[in-house]
Amino acid sequence: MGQQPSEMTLYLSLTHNCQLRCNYCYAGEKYHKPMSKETIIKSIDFTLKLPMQKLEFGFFGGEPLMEWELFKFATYDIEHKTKEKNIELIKTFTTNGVLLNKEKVIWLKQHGFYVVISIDGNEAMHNTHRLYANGEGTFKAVQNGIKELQKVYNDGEYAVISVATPENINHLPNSLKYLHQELGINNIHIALNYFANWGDETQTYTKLYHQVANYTIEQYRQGKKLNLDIIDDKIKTEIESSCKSCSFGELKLAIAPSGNIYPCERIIGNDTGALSMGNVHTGFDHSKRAELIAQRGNSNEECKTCPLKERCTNSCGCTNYTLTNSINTTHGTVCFFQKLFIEVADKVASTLYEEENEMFMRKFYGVVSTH
Amino acid sequence: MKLQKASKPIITYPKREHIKPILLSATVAMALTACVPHTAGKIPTDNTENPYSTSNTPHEGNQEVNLPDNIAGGMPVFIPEENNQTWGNNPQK
Repeated sequence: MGQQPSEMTLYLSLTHNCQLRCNYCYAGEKYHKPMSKETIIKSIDFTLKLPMQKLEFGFFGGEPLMEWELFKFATYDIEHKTKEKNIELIKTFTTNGVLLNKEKVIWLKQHGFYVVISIDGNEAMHNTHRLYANGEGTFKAVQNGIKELQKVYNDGEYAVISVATPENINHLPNSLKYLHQELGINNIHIALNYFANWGDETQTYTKLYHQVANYTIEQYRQGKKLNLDIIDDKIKTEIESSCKSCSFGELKLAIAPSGNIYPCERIIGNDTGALSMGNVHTGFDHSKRAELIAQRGNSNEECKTCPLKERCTNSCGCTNYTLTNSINTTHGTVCFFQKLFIEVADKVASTLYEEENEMFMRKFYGVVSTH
Repeated sequence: MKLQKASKPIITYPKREHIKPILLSATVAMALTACVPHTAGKIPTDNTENPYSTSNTPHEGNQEVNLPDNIAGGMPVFIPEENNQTWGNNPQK
């Protein structure tokens, strides 16, 4: 591998199949082609030959819970092998939530999985895109899955992820309130479908995200816990002078049902082999991997003098590649929204810092006051 | 959408490195010191080993902060941290 990473990430895509037909999904065509047990074993063995002290292991898809027996098989295998090698193991997976039931939730809890459930928001926002193959909305089924999870899981052990698109973003403020207040979820990721055509409704989007910021401020004032990644992460980029860097291909491996090795789980798609770094059955394509790592970063001239460049995710390899067909070229949509997220995060932080908000000070500075 | 020209934001909250050692307001410092046993040295961070353990004493994960002498007599004060749980790797971000 050329270096001695302390932490690696491995994602297995157990299947291309899914019950849902979300029209923003980037995971490719849905069909029954599960990963074989042989491929699972080779994927794990292949990864554990790399030097590491800690491994974040997860499933992505296709819907992983559709292959529950393989899910358990892979988990047992990696638990056993990381224990033998004295490697710290963190387990996580993302699910559409439809198949979550008591039996599965208890098993997941027993095995320490951090669970991320995809729910776009309230019924109106969620059912805009997240539909079964027959066109029926999945909201009720996902809501039931979350309630099953909440019977067993504690607050810090799960999160939800909502995807905002041009078609559903008007519901965002009400959806946030719904997830937080009615479903009682405190850990909320708001992802953006960067690949949609966002047009030029910039004032509308700005207004909506400022509503999200205002809601967040109000929750801190009321002492109600809310971890909202678009706010928290950007505040941390300023407070800690650091931004999460893209581990594309270097510290992260994503393996398709075929055994093809990709630099990021979001690149697998239809498993065409584009950007593949080899196959677990035949080994790494070291030159391809080195080529991908060398291309990472950002090459836009406009970004070089941008005062926000250190707080921006303009070097996210998979987003750049999907939008511009280049790993290091950032699209204007990313630029606009990154700027907006920083703006609203700074609004939240400035307001709460000025007010000496105790919850804010503890969370971001570890103290109750600096005044 | 095209790449945007950004202006440098006016940041009115500090970087973390700039607020250590912290200065607590007198009121907060008094409230905190009233909860902490007056030991000469460092209070054990493991609550189970702390002979002075009360519901207000620190436990694992808390942070030790040294107050300036004129505020808390140089005595270490522990301030419980918010549960800064790890978000894990968000695959869809």
